[in-house]
Amino acid sequence: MLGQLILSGIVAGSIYALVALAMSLTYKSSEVANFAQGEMAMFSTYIAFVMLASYQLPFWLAFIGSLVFAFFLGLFLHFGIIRRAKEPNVLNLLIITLGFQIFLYGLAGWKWGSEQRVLKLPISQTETVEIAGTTISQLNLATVIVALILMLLLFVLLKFTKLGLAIKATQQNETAAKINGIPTNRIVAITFGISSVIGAVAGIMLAPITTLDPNMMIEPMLKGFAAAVLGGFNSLVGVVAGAFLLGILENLFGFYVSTEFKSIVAFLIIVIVLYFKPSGLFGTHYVRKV
Amino acid sequence: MSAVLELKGVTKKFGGLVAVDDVSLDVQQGEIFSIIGPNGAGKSTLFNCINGLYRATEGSVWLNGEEITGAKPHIIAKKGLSRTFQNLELFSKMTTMENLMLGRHLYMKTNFWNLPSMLWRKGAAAKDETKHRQKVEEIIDLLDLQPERNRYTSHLPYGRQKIVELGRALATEPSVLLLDEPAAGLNHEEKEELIFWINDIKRLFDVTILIIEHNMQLVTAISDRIMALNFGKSMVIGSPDQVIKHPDVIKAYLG
Repeated sequence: MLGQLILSGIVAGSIYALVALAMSLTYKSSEVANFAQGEMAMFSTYIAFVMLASYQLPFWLAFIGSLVFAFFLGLFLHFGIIRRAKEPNVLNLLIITLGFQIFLYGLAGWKWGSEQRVLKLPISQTETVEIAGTTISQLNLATVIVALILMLLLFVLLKFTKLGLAIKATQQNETAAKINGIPTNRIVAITFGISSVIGAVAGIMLAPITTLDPNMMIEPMLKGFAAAVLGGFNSLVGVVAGAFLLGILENLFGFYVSTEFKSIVAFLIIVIVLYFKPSGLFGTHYVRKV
Repeated sequence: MSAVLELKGVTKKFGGLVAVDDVSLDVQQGEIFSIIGPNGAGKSTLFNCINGLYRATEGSVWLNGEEITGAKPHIIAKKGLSRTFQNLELFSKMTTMENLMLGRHLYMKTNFWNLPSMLWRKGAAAKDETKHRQKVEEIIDLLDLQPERNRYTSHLPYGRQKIVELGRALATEPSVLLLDEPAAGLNHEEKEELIFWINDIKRLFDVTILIIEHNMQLVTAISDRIMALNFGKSMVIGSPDQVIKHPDVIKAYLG
């Protein structure tokens, strides 16, 4: 039973991990927690839905189309909105992302209504696979695999490519990055695009499990944010670890203690962790020299 | 001799404050040109106007005969101008080696699509990487950064951090190098070493150097020409001898 619970926790954790990674990536480049992250994912998922249901496109085309849309949505948020703010401070920027969140939420509600739609993936939800004495639905297994592949791709991108180096440099010191020939504004915009794509993948994998409606990303987004804080917002590895930890703990608590309080426990854990370790479990606290 | 860097009537205003006031100068190929002046004279602001961190309110900046006024810093970096900062702008969570490699960023080609060729030792990307490492090794040798190469820059003593920043600026292979108070915070021995290096760098890298510096001993030892700034205005430009004996300079420094 324990194995089964942990496995379910990992499935939930992989969705949290994607949301958390998306938030952490943009936070590291712009020092802003993008609260529109969830709604951007929700909106991109709707785009996949429209391409599937209204235009009858094959799933893979709709999937890729939705990710392309997500990328440009991310670019737009940075270039079209955030960059336009006049001498903003962090609080202003935070409110801008909140505004963008409300805008997308309203737009989705107006365009598609609040009814619950079904996003059909070509992967079965009912057929199961046996792994080491535990069972997992094909869809859940696919979710975990897709999340792991995405993490691997992100790792390779950051570690081995010129773009990855530019992203890290921009995150550490924007002025220094600029004078070494890195177009920092473009780089930050690209990180918003990448984050948005990661979020969209989470949305598409999640939609068949829950349902597709404008509220679908609110809870996963909060949990993902919480996981990111738990793991340490400025450490990508920490954020992923925090997400899996949160998914597993939540599931264990739900089974052994109370299902009713399952959602609350996540936030309780965060309060406790932050009380003892303010920069998160794996985060490094660093102060910028003036 | 041709002017590598030319400023024509550069003025920078912050609201009502005129930080740099109508400064014109031309720096010749291979010259070491120093800018001196009391605190708040607008020296660093002038550097920021040259490398594009600030946009000059009036006037124009020319690099190798091409106007760069108002261009973004990363574009100016590509055109061959590099700099260091008074308060250090290092990538503090990277090692010395990584900082210097970032100076090579301009020349790197490794993108997502040619990653597979990294795995193959003779692939284009691997060759590219090797070439950049060699360049960085040369700089590490020149500046005696061997012991620090794999240490995080935030763990290094201040003096060494300044040298890492100088090394990173050199890694971009600039034609013009701006050094903002390179000797500040260095001990006597390190200062002597710096004078030595600046001359070496000029010779080995065929680079024109502009220096902001307070240390008069250093300035007079290495400069071909000096400009004295006060309240954003250029008081005098001339040889070290002319400048330190100029009555306005003496007045500005001694009050």
